[in-house]
Amino acid sequence: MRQTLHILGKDIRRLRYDIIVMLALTAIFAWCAGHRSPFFDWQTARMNEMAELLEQLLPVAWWYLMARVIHGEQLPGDRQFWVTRPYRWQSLLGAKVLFIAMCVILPLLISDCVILRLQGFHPSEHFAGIAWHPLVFSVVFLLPVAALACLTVNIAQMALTFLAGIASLVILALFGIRPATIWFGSLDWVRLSLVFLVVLIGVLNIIVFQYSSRRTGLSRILAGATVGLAMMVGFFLPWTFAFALQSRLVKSRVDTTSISVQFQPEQRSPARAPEYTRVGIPIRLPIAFPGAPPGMIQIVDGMAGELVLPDGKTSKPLRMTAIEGTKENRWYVMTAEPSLYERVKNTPLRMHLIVLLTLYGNPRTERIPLEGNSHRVPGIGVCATEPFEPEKFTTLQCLVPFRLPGRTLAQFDNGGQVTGFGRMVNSPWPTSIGISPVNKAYWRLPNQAGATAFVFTTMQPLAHIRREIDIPNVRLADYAY
Amino acid sequence: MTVIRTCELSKSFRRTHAVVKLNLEIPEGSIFALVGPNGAGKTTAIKMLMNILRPSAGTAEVLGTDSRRLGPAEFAQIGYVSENQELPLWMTVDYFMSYLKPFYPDWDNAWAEELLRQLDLPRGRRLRDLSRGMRIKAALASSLAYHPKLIVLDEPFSGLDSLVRDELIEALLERCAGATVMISSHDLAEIETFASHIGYLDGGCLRFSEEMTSLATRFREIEITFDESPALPAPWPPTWLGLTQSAAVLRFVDSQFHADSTPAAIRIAFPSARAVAINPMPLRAIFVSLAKSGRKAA
Repeated sequence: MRQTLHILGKDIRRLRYDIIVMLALTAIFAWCAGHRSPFFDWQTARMNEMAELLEQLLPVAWWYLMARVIHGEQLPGDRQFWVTRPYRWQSLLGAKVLFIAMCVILPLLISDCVILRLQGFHPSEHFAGIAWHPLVFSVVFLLPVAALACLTVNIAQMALTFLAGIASLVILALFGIRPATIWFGSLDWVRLSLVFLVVLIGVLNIIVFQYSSRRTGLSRILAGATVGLAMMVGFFLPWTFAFALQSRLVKSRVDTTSISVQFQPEQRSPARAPEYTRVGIPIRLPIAFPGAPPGMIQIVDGMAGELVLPDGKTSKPLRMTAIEGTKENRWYVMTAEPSLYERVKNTPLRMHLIVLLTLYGNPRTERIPLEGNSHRVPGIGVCATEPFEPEKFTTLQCLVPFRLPGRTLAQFDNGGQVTGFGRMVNSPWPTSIGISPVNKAYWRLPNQAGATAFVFTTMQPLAHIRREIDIPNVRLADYAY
Repeated sequence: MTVIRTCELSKSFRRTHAVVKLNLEIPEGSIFALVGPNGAGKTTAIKMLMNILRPSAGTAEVLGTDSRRLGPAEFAQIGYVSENQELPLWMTVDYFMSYLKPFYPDWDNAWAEELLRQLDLPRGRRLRDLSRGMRIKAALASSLAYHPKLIVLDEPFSGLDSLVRDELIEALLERCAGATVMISSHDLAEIETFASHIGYLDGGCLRFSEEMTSLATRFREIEITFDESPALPAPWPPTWLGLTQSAAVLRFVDSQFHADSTPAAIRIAFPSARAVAINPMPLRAIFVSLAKSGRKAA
């Protein structure tokens, strides 16, 4: 421990000016982010801009500081003076960890508390978020960069490696290999968690292996394998696996046996011209899920279907790509390959569907007047409404500490529906990924005559359900319009 | 006791064989000079001994420990200075010394002060502001202040002017009594003045390793004068190197000179010789002759 503190003292002495600048930046960020407003306000506009700018700059500054401290005793190479001195690798690693904890994570933790306090949230009410945020921040923002610093000799080499990585991703994207974002929606936290778990295991191994043995070649191979595996998980993780994992991780809190799947051929969507999209032919299946317990709603996370072909074989899986219709009549859009569609469109076939649902409950409703100042919304944060292009939209903006609840639904008080998606967060983690503990979330709704307030409903995910159904004699042509 | 022992130690970088099956023993208390031309593999060999590079094959023992397992306990007894070592240039000389002090249980404060004074190091100046010679001196001072059992110096004189070189050698000799010193250099003139043992490395292979006195004894320059241009004996003895002939004078280096047998062998090979001169050789001349003779007869 004495050696650890001795090396730490040396690092602090060497980087004292960098540390002062870093602390100043963090303090300015905390002040600006703490004075952000949920609605546009000329007085706080500068604060908003500054906070957003620093939110981009601070990670780069932290990375720079981390790289400087790690490169102080660079690991690759054969010319460093310290490798033939009686350094214990545990002490050296411990000194670097302590430095990062003291100069990056601790200021972030304090900044979190200051921002929460300035925004009117009491830190003690967000203990889980405050504890979890530095962990998530370390795994996502710090450790990968620390591992990269362990594999490089200076910041220039590190930056070039980073840029080469970005260039590789761009090239992969040009060849059509890109993240499978479609329909991961509320399941995305599983994919992200798995990716970062792979990254965490990989970078911890790289860092410990590099400090204990300084075998940079092997460590770089390990880094390549980690990146490759993380990309495999990120790009090719089956959504059914993600759902199964979610179901296993998040225990069901309600009885879901009453929920069933019903195919409703009589509720076919209105006739329209056949469509050929880039990904295939949309098949709109009228399906309902009756039986949700009172006060609860179910949302489809994903749906996959297989057709039993005339030769007895099964087709490639059809994936759900969209949900259309109203609360009463919903059509789940499955996409079929054009060649398959043309081959079997008029043949009655049996379709096997797997449906993954999340059941939301425990609704909490808050009324937010359309005119007036910001309002505190329990379970959400501080919200305000703002007319946006007054004839068309009204925006509801909220400052949310750490994360949104499972599902949020904003409606006008005369029954207007929320438009758009993307406000379902099934993640059980107490914080989302980000620099600031308080994030902005907004809902934009078309104006409704006579409305005086937003009715804001939040719900929690209570169960993740898998259902299967066999639909006999489906003619694709009947639903592909 | 042997302080350094290597067994078939080898290092390859892709297809380049930097060190090939090096077998070396350095006795305790000796000043061992590892010499050879540029690119001979001296630095690679030392870096393997110091656990900076991993051997491709073979083993090395340093202070009784496998070189691949050298750790803090062993490095607390080793002083290593290299010409191309990257020092923490932001530190002042004083801070550099005080920073290193807690790493060494045997750090001798008085001795460190004395070293700084004798080597005339400017204590408050940053290492980056020092000349190359001064930096080597600072590295040397920081490597001697804990009375290491083994001092390893890799080309410490390279690029230094003769005054600084002399100072360093003087400092080394005065302050390393009892320690084993391994020094790599191609500065043969200086080595000759203080090394007790010498090893010659060339093309990654150790051509010989022996005591300086033995080396100086077995190399002689032979000059034979004839009345007319002589016929050369066949076969030419492989230990006679660097043959040059000008009219009636023949010169070569005998790498296995024996006061008893060599003159007789010369008389048998050159019965018509008018005069034979046998001259001792400086180290530099020995290595030049070895290099010129294709380095195969050592």
